[in-house]
Amino acid sequence: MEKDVHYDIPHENEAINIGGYGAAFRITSPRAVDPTALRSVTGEIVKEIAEACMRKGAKAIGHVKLYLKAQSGYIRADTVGMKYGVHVDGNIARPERVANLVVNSIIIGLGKTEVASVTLKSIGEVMERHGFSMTQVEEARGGEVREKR
Amino acid sequence: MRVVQIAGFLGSGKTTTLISLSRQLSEEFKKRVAIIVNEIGDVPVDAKVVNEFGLKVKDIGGGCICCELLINLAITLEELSKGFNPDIVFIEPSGVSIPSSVKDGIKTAKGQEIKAGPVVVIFDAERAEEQLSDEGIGTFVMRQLSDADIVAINKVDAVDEAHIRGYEERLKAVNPGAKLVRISALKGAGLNDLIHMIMELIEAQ
Repeated sequence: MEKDVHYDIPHENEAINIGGYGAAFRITSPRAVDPTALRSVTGEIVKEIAEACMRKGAKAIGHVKLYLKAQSGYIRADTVGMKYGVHVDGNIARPERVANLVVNSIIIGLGKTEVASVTLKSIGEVMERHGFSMTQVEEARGGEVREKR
Repeated sequence: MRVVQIAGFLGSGKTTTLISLSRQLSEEFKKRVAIIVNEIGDVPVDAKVVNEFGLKVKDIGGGCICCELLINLAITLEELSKGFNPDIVFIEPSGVSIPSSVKDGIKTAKGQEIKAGPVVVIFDAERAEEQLSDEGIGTFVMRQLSDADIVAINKVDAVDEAHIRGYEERLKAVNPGAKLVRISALKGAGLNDLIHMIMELIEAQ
């Protein structure tokens, strides 16, 4: 379910004009995708979002970050602007067909509606290029996430 | 239970820093550590990443813990104190939080054992030029830094020595009382120094 991030509260940062959007997806590929290709896709998503936001008129990238969780591991990717590069880490042990994807885009100089639109469009384009189908899912937040043992 | 903030502007390296600090404090110092993450956005990314490292993490979302979610912070601290009883709680406020307001929230948590510890503010040396040259962002970043007990100058591996010295001079002018430390959270450089500064301030309180 799509949700806007409400950040238009009285706050000392209000002069900065920050738009944020976060969404979760289940992604599926008709064939198992090897871990190197998955890393490449995650980097491509954050790059695509950051570049599209700048083209749309953003002043700067606050932080675009992504977490992809599959059965055999996870990958995280982020950028604070394309001139600073894209950082990807984490590890997935084997080829995977299904994964959960969470993306947060925090952009300086764009409104939340524009950030949401650019983020969804960018993710959709990258997924399509690589043959993934995707479904947006709702995630509860707050409280304990999980204590890993 | 000491509550230590790892604050700083968007993308400054807060999550990477607190994961390294928490692991080291758990494994080497044998401290019981918990983490509270407050992230802009309706779905958490940082809390999920922290959880991958086997760390105890609670996520407070849907707003900013320095203002409208201040009460949630106090409740979360009380729950952690009763249920997990950590020695140290790291709070990662959102990149647009005001550290002094978060500290006020910590003080409202009930329980004699919950005490506000030092405020660490991460300064992004790699993006400093870009941020400080913008009036709105520069003013806000300096506002965050003025609340710091420790300023950790991050990403020093990406910036030349002359620039780092220049930033140190500026930071000393903004917050003369803060301790300064150079780190590269991604590469692990300087984190031992940062941990020792945090522990010294906790012990001195």
